[in-house]
Amino acid sequence: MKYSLITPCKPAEFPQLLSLKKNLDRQTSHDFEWIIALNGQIDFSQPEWQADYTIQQVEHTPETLGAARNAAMTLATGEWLVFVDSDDYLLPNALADMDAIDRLQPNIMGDLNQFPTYEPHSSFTNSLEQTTVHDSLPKWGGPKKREPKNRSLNLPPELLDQLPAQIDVDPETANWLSHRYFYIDGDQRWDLFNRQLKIAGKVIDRRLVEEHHLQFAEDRELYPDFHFMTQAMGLTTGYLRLSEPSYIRVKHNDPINQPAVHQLTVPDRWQQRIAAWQEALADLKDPSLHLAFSAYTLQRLHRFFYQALATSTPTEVDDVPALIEQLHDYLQMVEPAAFKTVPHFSRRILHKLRRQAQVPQTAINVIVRLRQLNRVIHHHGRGVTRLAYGWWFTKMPVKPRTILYESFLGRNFSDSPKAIYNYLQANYPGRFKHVWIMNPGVEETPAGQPNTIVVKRFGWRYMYYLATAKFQVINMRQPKWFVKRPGTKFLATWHGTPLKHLVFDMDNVASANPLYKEIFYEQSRQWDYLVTANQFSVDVFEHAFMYPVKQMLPSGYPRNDILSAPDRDEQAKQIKIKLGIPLDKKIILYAPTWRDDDYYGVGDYKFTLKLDIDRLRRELGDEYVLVLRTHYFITEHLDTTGFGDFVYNESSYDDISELYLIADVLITDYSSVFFDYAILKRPILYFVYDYEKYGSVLRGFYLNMEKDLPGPLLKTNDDVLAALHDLPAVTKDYAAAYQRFSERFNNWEDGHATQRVVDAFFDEDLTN
Amino acid sequence: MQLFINIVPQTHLNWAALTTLIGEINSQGFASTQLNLQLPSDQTLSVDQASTAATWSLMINQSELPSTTESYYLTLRETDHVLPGAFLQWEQVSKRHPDSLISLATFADRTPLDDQITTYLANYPAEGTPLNTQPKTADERWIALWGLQSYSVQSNLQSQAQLAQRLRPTGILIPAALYDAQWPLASLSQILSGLQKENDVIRLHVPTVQTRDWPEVTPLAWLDELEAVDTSTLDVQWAPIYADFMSNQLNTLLGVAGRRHVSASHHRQLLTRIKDLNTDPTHWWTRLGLLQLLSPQMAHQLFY
Repeated sequence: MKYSLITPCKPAEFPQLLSLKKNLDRQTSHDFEWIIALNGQIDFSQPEWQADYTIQQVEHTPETLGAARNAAMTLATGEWLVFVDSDDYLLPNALADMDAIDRLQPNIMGDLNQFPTYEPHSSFTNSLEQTTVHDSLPKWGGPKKREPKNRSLNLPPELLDQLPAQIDVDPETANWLSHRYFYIDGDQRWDLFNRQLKIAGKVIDRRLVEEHHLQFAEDRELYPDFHFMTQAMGLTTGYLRLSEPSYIRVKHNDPINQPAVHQLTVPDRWQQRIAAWQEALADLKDPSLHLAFSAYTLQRLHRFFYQALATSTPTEVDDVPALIEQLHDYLQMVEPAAFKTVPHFSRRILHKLRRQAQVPQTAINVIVRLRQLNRVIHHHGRGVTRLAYGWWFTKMPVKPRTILYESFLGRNFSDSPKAIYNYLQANYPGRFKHVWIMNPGVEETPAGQPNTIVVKRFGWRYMYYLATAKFQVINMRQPKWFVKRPGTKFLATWHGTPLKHLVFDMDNVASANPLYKEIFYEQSRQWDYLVTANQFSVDVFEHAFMYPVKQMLPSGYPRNDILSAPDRDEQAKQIKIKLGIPLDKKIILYAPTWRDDDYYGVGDYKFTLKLDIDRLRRELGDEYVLVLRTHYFITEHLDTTGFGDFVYNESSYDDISELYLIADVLITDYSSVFFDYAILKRPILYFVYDYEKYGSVLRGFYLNMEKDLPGPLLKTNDDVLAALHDLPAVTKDYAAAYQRFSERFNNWEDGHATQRVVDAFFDEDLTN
Repeated sequence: MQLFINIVPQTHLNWAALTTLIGEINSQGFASTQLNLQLPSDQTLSVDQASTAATWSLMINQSELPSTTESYYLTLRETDHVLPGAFLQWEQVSKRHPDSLISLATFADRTPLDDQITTYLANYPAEGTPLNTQPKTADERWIALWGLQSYSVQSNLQSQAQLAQRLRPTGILIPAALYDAQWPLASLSQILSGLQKENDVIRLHVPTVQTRDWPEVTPLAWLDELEAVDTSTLDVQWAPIYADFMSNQLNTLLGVAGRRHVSASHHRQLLTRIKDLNTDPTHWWTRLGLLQLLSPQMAHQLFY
């Protein structure tokens, strides 16, 4: 037996163990056994556990990671131990590639080469099936700068035949040309120390481990590896890593529900870390390794420790005096030469801590501030307003009658914040100071209205009001560095009934930012109230945002009051005049969603109208005009000059509610606009020309597009034209579905949502 | 991998250079190779040459290309060189990315190859490998060079900075699936067609061929190539990119030709033709910009 794969697993992680099993089945070499350390029963008689390699399970006490690995190692019979965590996976050639390397000898520590990603195994396997490329890797999940760009190329042994016969190529070189790896020993032995220390993906000689009784720390909840790894490093003379990544380390993007060990909130994390370092360092006999490990730990302190202790950041460190005492003791053990490896200012702090067990608080605060300043300088001044926000503005008194509004990140003056603003201006004139956040270049702003100022997003005044306004009314998300100050109130109006899966309902891959879920969770904890449009939204937000129902306002959307207003026909007439649309023409509103898979390159999105506008104009031009409303990304790519006075491109129009009001029929597809439009009880058509292609996306919808919609799904222009020619028939056919839809989604929309929201949110501040 | 190597004469066919190139190709020991000589209509082979060509299995002006899924087409000039082990390296990359254009890094023809390899090896030390970092013999150098070989998948296809690497008639491996029969095999239009269809190009980093620079060696031929692209057939996105590329290349041509690589009469001819193109320069202070303000004759006096 060549390899023994060691996998510790908690009972809750059992499903991912099955994924790993499927992954191991795909290994091109099956000369291995798999030993799972799990406290629980695996039914190996089940078909999914059948394999042509040996699988064993072992239980362990105590229930720690260290004990699990130790227990698994006792059963191992392979020549090499390979450490594979249950949430990670291997590329199919991983073990075969390692096996092919002649250089890997018992005195060498092997490494399958970790590749971090947020992409789970199932998703990666699916993507492999859609490509002919044979070097695919999952989406890179590490720092952007470190993403490997160059791929090494193994060359066939026949290549050497092209050299003259008398040339005697060293066998090691010949082997290396066909099986690339990176190898260091001698003076470079401790290079890449951090990578060498990571247990996952390491390949270590089993007899070496047994002979020296190497064990993981069993009594430690965290950091059980330091002692084992440093001992293994000390007992080997070289480090060999495959040139190509073959160990895929899956990072967790949902630290709230599925935290990885390093994401767990543990108040004594630093204490545990330092204790593990102490234990490891005490047993290191090799002076060069002692120095390298000392330097490594000082670097960790330098990079992460000060932030944890700075007074400007919320500290989660438990019992600081005891921690400092422990660190003081640890620093006595550290090789003095290692201090030279950290920068001067940091070295002074560490020296102070070494001399006496007291927190050099001022020096720590200064170094943290200097780092923030340094970041701003490196970005040529970008972020200086944010620095002022953190350092000064958040220390200023809160302004009790100032309201800060933001709609779609400052892109326009619209949505529920606008409705709330208008309501307060009409009913409580002069009571509040209103501050609107707007991006430069937005045409319609509330500037010039009484008690209202407009501030540029991320500018100085923005930072000032963000820190000092008592009320924030925002329809998307606040910045992640926003500080919720005591006495302030935050109203999240959100911006629509959810159609596509949100935050915690999304699968692992879907989120653009891997930290999205965690950041969203932290941000939504700062919301005092969340406006909801219907009971459906309440139910969804409860699981998708993990937001408490008691803090949701069951009010309906303020932005939709205009659609139920008694004077809505008069308002519609005024809007038509404003847009220059003839009053005698009916209006088709076409509002397709944006397809993010249809683009030329980064930031350069294709948009071709699949709706046959020319034909619409020919057949319906006498009676209708077409108003286009598309995603702001593609607004600029639209050229409607050829369609004369039939097409009005209102993609940049601020307030879509006003477009609903004038539209006699809506054509849309997978966009959530129809929830609001349905309040008007006017016909809705769904032009879903790529419905089949969208299958995988539709699985991520909260609605069943086949059953729940208040209008027909139309796949061709012929179908759309036929429906438009006979709208009364559509209305009749979908009357019952429309009724069900309205009851489910628009039951709360009675034209008084703004009043309910304002009364609940501002409460006593309206009168006191 | 099935290779179809299309050889285009640099100017008038240099038979000695062709013989060398065929020797280099044959010594690759690569079974599935087809060779074609694309002779201009005003050139023919002598009887002896035709007989030798037949022994090399060198086809003349073959228009039918192999079309299996594993076929790749490569255009070279007879003055170019293929380095030992090149085909096997190409084959390895093609196995990993079967349907992509492969852009080959090249050594220049100006300085001796050995010197270039020595400099290359000094610039890219092979750390963490068993390779001999200071190879003494030529064969050790080949091994060291092979050892450094790597590739990258480049998706920034429209980047001007790297366009000159990809947009050239020679030194690009074209998979059969990307071949567009409406354009000549050895043409910029052929490569542009491939670039428009694909999302990425594979770049093989360590040189496997030694080539001559088109703008430097045959500036008029390079101008012909640039002019031959029918910009009306390009995608909306590619038309402005090609216009910028053209402007940059014309400027390069003016710079290179001014170093007296061409005769005075060819230089004047080049200036006249470039001036007639009326291509807007990217920057007005460049030679191309100046040429718009001067007569070709005066520009010749100034630049040459």
